[in-house]
Order: sequence, then C-alpha cells, then structure tokens
Amino acid sequence: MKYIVMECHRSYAVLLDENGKFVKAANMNYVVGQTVTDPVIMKRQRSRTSTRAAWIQAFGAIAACLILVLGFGYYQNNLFCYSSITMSINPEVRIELNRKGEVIDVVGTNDDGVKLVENYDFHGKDKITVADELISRAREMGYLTDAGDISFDINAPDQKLLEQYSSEISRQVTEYLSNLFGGADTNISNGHITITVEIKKPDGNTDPGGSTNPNDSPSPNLLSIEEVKSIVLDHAKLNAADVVSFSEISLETENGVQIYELEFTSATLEYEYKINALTGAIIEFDSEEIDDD
Amino acid sequence: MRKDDMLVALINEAKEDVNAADEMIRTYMPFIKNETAKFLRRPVIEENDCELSIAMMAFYEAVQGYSQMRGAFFSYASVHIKSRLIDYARKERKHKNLTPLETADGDEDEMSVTDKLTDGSDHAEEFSERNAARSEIEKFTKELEEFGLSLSDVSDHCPQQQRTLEACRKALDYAKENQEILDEFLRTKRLPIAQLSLGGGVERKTLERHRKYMVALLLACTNGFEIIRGHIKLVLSSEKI
Repeated sequence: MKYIVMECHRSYAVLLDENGKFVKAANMNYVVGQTVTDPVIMKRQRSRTSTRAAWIQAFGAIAACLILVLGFGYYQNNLFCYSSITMSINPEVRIELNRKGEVIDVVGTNDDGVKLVENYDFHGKDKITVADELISRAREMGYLTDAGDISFDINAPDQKLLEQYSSEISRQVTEYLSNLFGGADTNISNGHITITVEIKKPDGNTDPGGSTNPNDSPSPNLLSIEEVKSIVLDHAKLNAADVVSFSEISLETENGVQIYELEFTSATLEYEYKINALTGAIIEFDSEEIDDD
Repeated sequence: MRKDDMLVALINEAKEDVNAADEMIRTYMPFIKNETAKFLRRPVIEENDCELSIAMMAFYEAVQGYSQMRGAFFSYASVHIKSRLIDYARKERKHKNLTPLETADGDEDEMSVTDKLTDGSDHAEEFSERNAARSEIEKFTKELEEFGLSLSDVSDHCPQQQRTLEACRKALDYAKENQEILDEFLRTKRLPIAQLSLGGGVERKTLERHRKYMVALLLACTNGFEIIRGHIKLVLSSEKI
C-alpha cells in the first residue's frame, strides 16, 4: 500500500492511501508529495464514547427504577396489610385492610373463626359490611346464642386511623346489632371496642320474624330485659337518659333461680343489681362512686 | 499547584489545535528525546532515527488520550511512548528478516537497499514527481481551507471501515458522472447531500457523518488534482484513454 504525504507537522503527518483513506501517522522526516510505504499510523483516541448507547443505558436504568418505585408504591397502598381489625364473638376473625382502608383479606384466627369464614367472599365489600355479614353468619351458624359481647380490636399504625376506625365500627356495627337484637351497648377504649348485645334465645314460636322486640321475654315466664331495666331505674330513681351505659346485662341461675344481673353507670355512680327474673324482685343492689382508674 | 494547572491548560489546548500541539512537542522535546534514548539505550540522532518521530507521535497520542483520571501526565506519556517504540521495533525486526541488509545470494545488482525500496524509477524522475505532487497538494490544501477544513479535520472524519469507504466512493462516482453537481459544489461551497444520497443510493446518515471527508473527495474530482486522483485510482471519464 502506497501513501502520499499530504501534510507535515511535528506531531504527525497526514497521509493518503490508495483507497482514498486519509490517515495521521508519525512524521518520519517526511516531505509533502513524497510517497511512502511503511508508515506508523496513529491510533484514534476514542474520547467520544458512543453517546447513543450511553443514553439508552441511562434511560433503561431510569425506567427500571421508576417501575420498581411505582410497583412498590402500588403494592404498599393496595396489597400490603396496613391495619387489621380482629373481631371476636366466640369465633375470632381478623379483617385485614390496606392503606386505603379496603378489605384485602378475612382470616379465621381460631377454629370457629376458620369455620365462620369458610367460603366467605369479601371482595368489593367494605369493612363494616364484612363485620355485619360475619355477625349474621355467626348467628345463623349458632354461635350467637349466649348473651355476650362482640369485641373488636383495632390494630392500626397511627392514632388517627385507629380512632377513625373505632368510631366507624362502634357507630355502625352497634346500629346494626341494635336492629338485630334490640339493643347494644358499646364500650370503647383505645382501639378496643366491646359491644354488648342482649341475645334473645331463638324462639321459633313467638317471634317468627326474628327476635327484635325488646318486649319479648327470653322465655314465656321470665321478665323481658326492658322490664327489668325499668325496675332498676325506678329503684335507683334514675331516668333512662341519666344512664350513661349498661355495662352488663346477663341472665344467670343461682340456686335454681333465674336472676338478671345488671350493671350500669350514671354520671356519678356505678350501680349493681340482681333481679329475680321471674318476679322482678330486687335481690341485691349496690352503688358506689365511679372509680377513676 | 499552579504548575499542574498550566500543564493541564497546555494539554487541553494541544488537544484542539495542532499548532499548539506542535509547540508543546517543541517545548518538551528534551523529555521525548530522553525517553527515546532510554529505550534505544544510546543517544538519539535526530535526523536519522525514525524512533524519534514515532516518539513524537506517541507524545501527541498521549496528549489526545490524557484525562486527569489517568494520573500524572508525564508517567502516562512515558509509558505510551515506550509501548509505541516497542511496537515499532517488533515490526522492524520482522522486516529485517524479510529484507536482509546484505544480499546473501551475491546478487550482481549493485543497487543499495534504499534504492530497492523505492518504486524502481530513478531519482531525478522521482524528485520532479514529488515536486509536482507537492504543489498540487498545496493547492488542494488551500482550496480545502475555503470550505473551512484542514487536512487534519478530514482525516479525523475519515471512514475507518471498508464498507463505509465504499459507500462514500459510490456517492462520489455519482458526482463524477454529473458535472453540474460538482460545479454547484464548487460555487456554493456546500455539500449537496440530498442529491448524492439519492443519486448514489447511499444513506443520508452515512454522508452526514463523514461530511468533511466527502468534501475532500469531491474537491479531488475537480480540475487540477490529477495526481491525487491517480493515487486513489479515481479516474474521471474525461481522462479515460
């Protein structure tokens, strides 16, 4: 291959080869116009990196990061269990919520709870609906037969959310239970809600539409809860409005005798009463100033 | 340190401007000579030793490739010069084996090796040829300047791959056949890329990337550059015998 010397500098010379390629080479005492055959050709310094490839790489990296962040964000908000509500009647269940408060799962946490939620579809339902439906289910399955409490334990990462769920549940579920059972009393304390209901024993004969009438007695001879309530209020010389809450209303048997036990508070005092369920006679009563715990 | 700053400034200037690069080589000639002498293990004779020229080029390469990440400039340059000299020595050794300085077969040819290495014609002719070439090239360089280009620019933007070289040549062939294109090119001092791309069947992108080279090629097709054309085997239709 022959080269013509086109230009000479100290640093290098420019040569032209027979293919029309211009190259830089060591200037070995060349003269312009000279023909040479064995030049020492300069190697191109690749300072300009392939900018397009660099851009594609950078873009790909950014896109990957974005996807990760967005995907994670979506997971955090929608699929991640952010808070939960544990409901126990007897069966115990945990309702799991995402950040937005939507129900993402319903899990039975004891054997009865597992049975309760079997084949239950919670999709598209909000937490209150789920709670209400599960309570109905429990009743149908025969779990809600004893008078007692339905309690809710709320597990949320911040106080505000806790209180929000608390008031939601206590208000709405209590309403639901009152309609169902004729009365419900609520006790709330820092995310722990206890709703006490007066469970009527299911009686096919006297209440075909379900036991919602508070004037019905649990059995033909016993007094109804309403009647007993008015007895104790009379006795305590209180109006219904004076009573802050009934913390207990239960039916028990002592020495073969069926007795209602009631506990309630007014603004200033705590009361306890035992009433003969058949006659309405006051067996025992007590009152004391409310303790400041 | 101020001295470092000055050096870096010098280097950056030399990267851009070939005259600054030449200046720098002149300034640091002692260093370059020293490195060469270290390699040859003898003092350097400026006129004879090709090695010195190579070392100078290597120094220039080091200037081009240097960035502050690479540490101190002179250590970098020293290493580079040495590796270039080693490459050259290896190449020369191979050559020496092929063409012995003394003809062992007792050739009656009295010509010296240097004579053998030329293209066979006698000195006088070669001398005048060289002169003619030189004046043509000087003219070429001057006309290239009117396009705002230097030969260094052209070589920097010259295609490296055979494929691209051929593509450019295709575009050039088209221009050769169409004198109007060349005339307009000379007149407007602009490269008619669209026409060349369409007529030559070459991608615009390719021609744009090697725009400076294409200018040089097209220029070579115009009158007064027969020797250059002859060298790159670019025979115009008008010259065909």
